[in-house]
Amino acid sequence: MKPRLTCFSPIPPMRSAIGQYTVGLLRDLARFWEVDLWSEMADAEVDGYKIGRFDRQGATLPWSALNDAEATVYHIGNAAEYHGGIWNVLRQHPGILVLHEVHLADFVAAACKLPEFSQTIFSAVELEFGAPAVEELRSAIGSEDIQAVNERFPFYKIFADRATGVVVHCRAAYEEISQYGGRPCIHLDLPHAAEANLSRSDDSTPGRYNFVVVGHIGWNRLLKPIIEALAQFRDRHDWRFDVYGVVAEETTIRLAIDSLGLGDIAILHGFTSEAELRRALASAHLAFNLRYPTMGEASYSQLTLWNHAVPTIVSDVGWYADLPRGSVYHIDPRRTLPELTRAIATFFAEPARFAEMGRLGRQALEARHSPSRYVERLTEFIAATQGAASAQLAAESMAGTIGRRWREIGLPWRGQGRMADRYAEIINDLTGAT
Amino acid sequence: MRVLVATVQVPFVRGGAETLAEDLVSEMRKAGHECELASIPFSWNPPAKILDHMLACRLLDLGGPSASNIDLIIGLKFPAYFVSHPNKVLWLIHQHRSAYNLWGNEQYGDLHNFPDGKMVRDAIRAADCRLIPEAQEVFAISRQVTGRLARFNGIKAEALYHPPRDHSLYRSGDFGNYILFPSRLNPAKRHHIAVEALKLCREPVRLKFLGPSEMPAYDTRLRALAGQLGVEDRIEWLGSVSQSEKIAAYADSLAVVFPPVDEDYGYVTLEAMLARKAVITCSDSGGPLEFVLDGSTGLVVEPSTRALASAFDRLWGNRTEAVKLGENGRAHYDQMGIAWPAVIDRLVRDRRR
Repeated sequence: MKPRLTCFSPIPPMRSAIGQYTVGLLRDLARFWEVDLWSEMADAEVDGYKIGRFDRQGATLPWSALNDAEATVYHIGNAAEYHGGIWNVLRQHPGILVLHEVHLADFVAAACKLPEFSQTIFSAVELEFGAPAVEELRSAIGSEDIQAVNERFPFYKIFADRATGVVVHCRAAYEEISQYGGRPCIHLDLPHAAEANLSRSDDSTPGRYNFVVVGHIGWNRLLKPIIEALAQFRDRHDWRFDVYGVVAEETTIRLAIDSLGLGDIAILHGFTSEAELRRALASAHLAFNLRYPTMGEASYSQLTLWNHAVPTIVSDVGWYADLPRGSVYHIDPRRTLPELTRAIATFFAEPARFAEMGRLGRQALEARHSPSRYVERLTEFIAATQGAASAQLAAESMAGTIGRRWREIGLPWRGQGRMADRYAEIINDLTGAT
Repeated sequence: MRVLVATVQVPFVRGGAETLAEDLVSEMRKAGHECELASIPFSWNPPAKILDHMLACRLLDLGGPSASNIDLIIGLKFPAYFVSHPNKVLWLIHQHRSAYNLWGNEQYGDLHNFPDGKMVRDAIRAADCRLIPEAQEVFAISRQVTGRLARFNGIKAEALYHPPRDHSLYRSGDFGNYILFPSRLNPAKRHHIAVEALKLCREPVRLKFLGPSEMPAYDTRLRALAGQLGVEDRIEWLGSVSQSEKIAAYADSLAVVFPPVDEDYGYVTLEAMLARKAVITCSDSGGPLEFVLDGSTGLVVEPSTRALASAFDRLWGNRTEAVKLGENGRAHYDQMGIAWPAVIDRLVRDRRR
């Protein structure tokens, strides 16, 4: 009998790439685990899987069944409406944290405005960073300053604090969390199946180039400069630009499209079906997958593009900077517009070079992003971390008690070093945590 | 020797463990030792409190210069046995059972129902594995407890049996028209299957429940069950009684029934044997099985209503057998040599610092 693994994740029809990732892993996970899926949505469905529905407070969860599982895995990203409830469960029931994005300022900013999460967020930030961090957070809500607050007080720590281990999908995130040192961390390449027999079908207008942007189009996707750069080639080449996915700043983008006279060739499709997206990618000649700043994520969209061998222009930051040279076209995000203009001109001059880039991307997908290998390493990580992580959490609980009691007593913390050493020794005696 | 007995107690809850701790102190003194009881209040809800109590106990370093007048510490219960002292022995009453044999048990365990239950369970198990072996020697009150310690923690221990309080006062009287169930009203003691068994009995068996109501909801449930089954007129609820009344109830019973789940030790079994009464128990009852020899000193049956009813009928319908099993029980008790001096000797022998 296989051990049980509980997963909390957005699940389709939630419009989340993380949901797609979770569903994409199920077949491989089933080789090692009996998987229990939990989602906030009542109508979540995945063929062949029974999905439990949980409420945002986790009040109705069957803790006995969760405790009976070998491990629980939580998927956290920046969309508070999808991941807030998952965080609430993690706070109560420790488990493996898959941190799809490391810079979680957007999550925190959104959660602060949601009545069911706001108080919890402030409490967690205070516990982790102290009262001044809460003050800074309060004054930064609703402005871009929230990113700067996140630089000083990395919000991912309030998630990692209840984790028995952390999984990240990019090197920079791994280095940052390893430096933090609070939890065992592993860097796994984001998985995506490389589908066989995917042919490039050019059913578009002959001689016309199809450009695409796909995924969740947040404010850091640089969509406006992409449109501005493309506009410079309006009269010189035949092209069309399609955006598939929810656009965060849609009004601004539509205004830009109209003002540049691109209304007939730059189309915002919104969230589209899987079938429509596949058709679009099969005939796409170039994709833009820019981020600035990066949120410390790996891009599932990039892997989807590679699956269809679509050449891609990416920002030279974070995970994207680590992509094999030749498999994508890097631009410096600090000079987005001139760099994009140059890249697009290069594309029009050397389309075959870009097509080769798409093929190399596909090879990179096949070589590094196998779901099967991902699941094997995840399974090894879970086995290696559970015992030590429980000990660490117990030790932190005890240390927290000592700290609280000491403050309540109100005695001056004289001889702090010696006292701390003694308490640490005793906690180590009990838990084995170092 | 100056001996400190370390235990924990849920405030205002008394059971066999509290009796044992007090008797140990008393017997230590009789044996010529200075002995005191250190009882630390304990609470397990919410589970994070358990970690705090573990820490609190461990912070009690009784081995330093300020506490050098303690020659020996005897740790009895989790987490009191974590107190630090260079000359410590453990005589385990039990570990924190919700983290062990009751983990996942919906009827009798609770830790698994808390969100952080697994983390706390792991912490308890890890601490037990690390710190129990630091004792000079590890004993337990029964093979049931030593067995769990070996199974879950890989730690060997020796079982030391001790007699129940006032053991010399137990006697046999008339073999009256009732089977005695002496135990606190608690689901883990399984009074309910005895009530249900009455309904299935062919003989007009009568039961007397002796012991305080520990959980009002269970008390209510039992009485309602008896009413539903129409057996309420065959049950007498004695509640809390004095020690002499208890001894009298044993003396005049036909037999004793004691069918708990996975009991650590079970004074009831020994008290019945001292009173020359046959003991009916179940094959999953734990501690009683170390003393009850099926068909010789009592009856060991499957933990089912039907099996229990059959055992009730058997002794009710054959009093000669009930008497014989009771006599055998007393002889078996005497053969085992269960006595405090042996326990005290084993705990303190060669331990002077």
